[in-house]
Amino acid sequence: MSETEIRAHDIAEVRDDLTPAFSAIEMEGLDETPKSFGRLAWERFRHHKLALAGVVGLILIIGLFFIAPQFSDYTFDERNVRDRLLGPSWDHPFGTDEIGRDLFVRTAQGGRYSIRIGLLAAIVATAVGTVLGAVAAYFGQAIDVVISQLVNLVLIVPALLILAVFALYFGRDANRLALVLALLLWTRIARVVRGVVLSLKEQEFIMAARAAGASHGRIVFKHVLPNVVGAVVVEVTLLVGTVIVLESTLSFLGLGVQPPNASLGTLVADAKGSIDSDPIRVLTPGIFIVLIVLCINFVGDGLRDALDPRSKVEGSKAPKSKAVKGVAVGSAETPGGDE
Amino acid sequence: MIAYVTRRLLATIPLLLLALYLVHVGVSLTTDPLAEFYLCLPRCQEGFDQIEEIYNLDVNVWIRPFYWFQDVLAGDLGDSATIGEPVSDVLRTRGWNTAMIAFPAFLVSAILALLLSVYSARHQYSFGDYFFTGLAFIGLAFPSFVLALIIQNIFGVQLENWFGIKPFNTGRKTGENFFELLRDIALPVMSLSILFISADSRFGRASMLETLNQDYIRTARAKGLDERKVVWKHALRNALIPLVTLWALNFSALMGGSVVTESIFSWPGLGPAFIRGLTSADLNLVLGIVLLTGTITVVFNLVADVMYGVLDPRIRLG
Repeated sequence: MSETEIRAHDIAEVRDDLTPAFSAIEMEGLDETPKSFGRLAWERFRHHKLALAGVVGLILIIGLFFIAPQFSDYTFDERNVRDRLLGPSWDHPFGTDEIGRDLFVRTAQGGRYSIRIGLLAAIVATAVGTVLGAVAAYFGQAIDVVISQLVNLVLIVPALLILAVFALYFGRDANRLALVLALLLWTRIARVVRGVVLSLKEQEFIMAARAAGASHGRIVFKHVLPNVVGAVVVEVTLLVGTVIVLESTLSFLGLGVQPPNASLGTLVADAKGSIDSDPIRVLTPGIFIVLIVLCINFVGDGLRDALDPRSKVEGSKAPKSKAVKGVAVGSAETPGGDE
Repeated sequence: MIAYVTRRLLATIPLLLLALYLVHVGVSLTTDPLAEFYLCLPRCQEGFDQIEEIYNLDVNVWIRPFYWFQDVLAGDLGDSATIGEPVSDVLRTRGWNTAMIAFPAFLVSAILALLLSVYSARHQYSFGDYFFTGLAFIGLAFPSFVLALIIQNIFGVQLENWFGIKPFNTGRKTGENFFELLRDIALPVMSLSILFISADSRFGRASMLETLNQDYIRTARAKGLDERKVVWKHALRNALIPLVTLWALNFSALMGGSVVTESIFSWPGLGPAFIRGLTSADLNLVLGIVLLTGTITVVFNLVADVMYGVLDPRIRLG
């Protein structure tokens, strides 16, 4: 990214130097200020209709979960047995549950919990995965084997078991749950980053940096990682969605968020028993999970198109071939196959 | 090739052992099989000692797994405390039940995903393409439990008697009659395959599009080859390569048992057994299931890599 900026800067300077001399000559293609990579990416993103819809949807949902409950008269654990099992009304937009708690406030609280866990777990998983993946690919050999085997180990042990064991050992508040989820999910990012770095490190600019005497740390953090940002940003976005689904599934099974706290998953689990008589109660938290994940996937798709330097401004119409490469590389390079 | 497969298998065996070791230690540290006995202690000393004997509780936690390994090498996976049968029997019956829905789900999702991706790639940006891509997006956003609950409610409750729900609960033996069997597995298979179709078809569409845009396809069309032959013979072969590896991974995920879907449909497969083992500290059962699913995962990961090499000669397995 920085390289394009430098080039843009140089071209602008050369143009300024030349303009007095060639003032009569229209400099073809150079009379516009060149756009930076970030600017181009933003323009591509802006033209991606689904991605914009995703952003708007997320803003609306966040507003609904974080701001709207302020105007409600109820709190998420306030019982009012006289008003139990009410249908949707102006007072209780989503109705009430069997001990008379307002389901709108509960859904909002569950949504906040889910979003918080999703963001936290995705960020931690990304940090761990990026560093380990880059280190594995950059140094290769023994370090690569160790990290790759670690990835395989996480694949073999069932996710649920890891979650259950750690939940029992460390407790189940939101932060710890997020950390355990991150422990499971860093492997995907590590694979992606490893693949990108493997191809990067053979390129000339890395060789040049090494020839100039840069240290390993400097090369990894200053030259390699900035080039990985595009791939990682897409993965993080999608990872938030994955975490939210995984967390709600866990909570649904009773292994995640514990009462009195609620997450979207526990709300579905609570309502599951009365699904035959009152399917709406299951549907509301369920649909919110679907909507959040859908919006996140739209944004991720838009980012993938926007951050791919090969796609044109009409990013939304570029064939999405990137996904194929990502997975294909991942499975072809499963570790153990050291050359 | 044989050397590669042997080397990979040899490399994964220690990994599997390490995984089992860690699971053993982790579960032992966090659960206590004696929990129920403390309250009644003087009276039930016999049972207490028995449990202690079975799980080698007098040995250090970090050494205990080796006793389990020793037994497994002798061919004994131990008894499941909650189900009250030898773990190997439980794995056999439960594994068969899981396969009863996993295998059809795999077939249905693979075939439908293939057809959908070929259709979407050939008619890019048509109404049908947008429709199916939209559906896939929505399907990807559905958590399995919401999907299973909705399917169960619509087809099992609202449209009563169309499909069997919870055949194992009613005591009816499944599999006596082929059509009965189809009715019983229809709903779990539907929920499982919708999830896999959504993921596979987007992937397959991208792969097929990339192949259809290549020069050799244009050559094939230019020389006047039948369009059907171009798509189904020339293009499909290359587009399938990434899909086949994905299928191998899907297959291992399905055969390992799906905890949520099987639980919701009360299907007595590996998934619910695993949850039961976890929540009631049934160490032998948990370890047996991890051994089975871990082996399946490792083997099918290897199958995926080998298939990749077989289908695409440019990739050499080193």
